[in-house]
Amino acid sequence: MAPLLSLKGVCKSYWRGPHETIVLADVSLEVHPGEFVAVWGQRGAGKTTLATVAAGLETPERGSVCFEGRDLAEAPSGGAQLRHEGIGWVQRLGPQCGDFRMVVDYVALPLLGRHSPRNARRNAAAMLKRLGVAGCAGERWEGLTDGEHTLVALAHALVREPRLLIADDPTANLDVLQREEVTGLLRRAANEQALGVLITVPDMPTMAYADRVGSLSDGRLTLSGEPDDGKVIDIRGKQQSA
Amino acid sequence: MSAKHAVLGLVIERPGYGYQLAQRLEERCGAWGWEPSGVYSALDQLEGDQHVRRLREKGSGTTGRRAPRVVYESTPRGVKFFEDWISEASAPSPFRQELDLKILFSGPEFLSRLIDQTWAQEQRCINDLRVLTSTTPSGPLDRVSWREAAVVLQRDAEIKLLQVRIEWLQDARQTMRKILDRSAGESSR
Repeated sequence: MAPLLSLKGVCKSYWRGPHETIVLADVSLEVHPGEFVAVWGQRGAGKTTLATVAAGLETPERGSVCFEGRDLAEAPSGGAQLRHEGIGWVQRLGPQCGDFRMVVDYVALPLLGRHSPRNARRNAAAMLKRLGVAGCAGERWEGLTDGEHTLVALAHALVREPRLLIADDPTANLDVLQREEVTGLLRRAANEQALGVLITVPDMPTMAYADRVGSLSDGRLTLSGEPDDGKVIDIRGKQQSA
Repeated sequence: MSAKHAVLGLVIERPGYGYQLAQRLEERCGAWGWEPSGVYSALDQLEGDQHVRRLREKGSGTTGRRAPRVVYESTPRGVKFFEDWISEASAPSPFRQELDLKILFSGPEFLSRLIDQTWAQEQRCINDLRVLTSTTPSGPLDRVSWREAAVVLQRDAEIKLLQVRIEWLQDARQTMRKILDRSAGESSR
């Protein structure tokens, strides 16, 4: 099956004065339909850069980012149409412009081009209910708790029924049970709707239910399923002895 | 750590025979990696300490083709032992690694090789992590039971252990690389 998302040899660095910091050095990654991939990294490891580059919101200096086989950098308008139609980006900061009286209007926003306002609101309310935050529909964004912000942001990204969902730290500010709810929901969306999911996380338990996991360090992505050199020891050896 | 306390906990929950207990142990805490044979030696030990006793023999069958299965139940002494164990302070697991010893005793000439070792061990940890994350989500959390929540917490503990190790490997690698770069700079001057 062709990948939904394909990063090949992606390099990205930032300059602070004369100093260059290499954030992504030759990173390659694929996400297939129905696959849930989670990448962990320490603070400053480049998780947000990886997520924004994968979502087409930033352009890599070298390498390519393809969505359904089409290079985002070479697509018309920098791939804006492709991104809008197929990629759900979880914007945890909430509304970046506009004054939304009610959360349901913010969640409905991505649907307005192809649905009537009434249908868009109805679908938005259904998505909020699915994520267990139906009660937030009539609230203002500013009045929500941190956990509710996260869940509403997910609803905003999922309401368009994207084929790929990308989120940078989607479970920030959630407690263990809320985190389980969100990651379980992403797992089920991958299984039932063939949604491809790529998340970056600062805390490894958030990677539960992922098909593939990876760690980002020194610009390099270490993904599960690759062979090691066979010489290293099992770190849980002490615990595993009966 | 032996499977003794875990097996006793399972028997206290409800009586069972060896194979059944091994299956329940695998379901509950497969990530601990206890062998099924560990269940039988734990039962022997628990029976010797009078923490469990034989309730009955089950499934000998009218045909007599199979050996009877011994069903174990907990004793009041076993329940007291388990409750005391739950209440006592838990020592953190020893965390000593062969790689740590190599780093401790190696000279700077080995730094490049040790950096390779940190990458290899990180890959191994990530592969181990994948095993821990290949679980199935529980149902809607407004109905989550304590048992399901406890399984989540246990899995988190295992995952966090790997996270700490990977963080340390990355920190160690960064430190080794800095020293290596500094040495290269000094020798080129």
